[in-house]
Amino acid sequence: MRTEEQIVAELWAAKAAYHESAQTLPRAESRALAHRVKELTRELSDFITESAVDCPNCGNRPHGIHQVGYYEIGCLYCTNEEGEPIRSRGFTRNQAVLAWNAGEYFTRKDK
Amino acid sequence: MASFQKFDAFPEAVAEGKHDLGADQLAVALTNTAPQASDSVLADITEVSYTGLSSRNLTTTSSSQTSGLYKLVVADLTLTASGDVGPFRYAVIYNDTATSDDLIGFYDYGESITLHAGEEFKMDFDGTAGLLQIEMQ
Repeated sequence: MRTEEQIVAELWAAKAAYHESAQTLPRAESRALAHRVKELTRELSDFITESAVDCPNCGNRPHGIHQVGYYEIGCLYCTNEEGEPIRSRGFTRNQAVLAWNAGEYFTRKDK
Repeated sequence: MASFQKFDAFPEAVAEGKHDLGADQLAVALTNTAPQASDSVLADITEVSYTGLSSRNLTTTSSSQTSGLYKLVVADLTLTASGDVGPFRYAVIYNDTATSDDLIGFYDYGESITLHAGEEFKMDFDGTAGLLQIEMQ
């Protein structure tokens, strides 16, 4: 299984290749490179949320972000009864997954 | 986080294929001059000098739709200065991959900000609601 660093490195390389092609080629011709960027973006989120349970509210797979200094796992598809996004945080990926799986959610008030 | 205001040209630019928001490199431009809703490309914006400022590139983490509601999600961005940067009051989001650096929207922070060496400015985007949403009406 690939590491986060490997996925990120490939993502940055794919972004650079796509960005360069988009400056010089018709958009249709750079579409394959754009597709690769999207695949890697999804792979990175899937890596971060590995072992995370589906959203208990809507059943969708959660989304993962490596923010500066912490990881965040949240649902892009629904909110809780108060209209708050459903998301958890941790200093490591594993901590964020454990918090998400335990239903320990972060709210705007916690900021 | 200040509220996000879109540029008038953005929906048309999306409809006409100028943006591929899931792959394009989005970036932040800083200005102390109020953007106009009619601005459409980066050349319309009077930018501050970025000497001594860290990368202004945004990291897109999700570009997807559910039940017709599209969300573009980006990671938070921390701008770090190694010298004086600013003053700036507005942070403009634009598409650095689009050939004309088409504008998307901007945030108004309400007052002019100057970063000094060692200072940081964090743009705290909503990790689940996203930077922007698009829904047909």
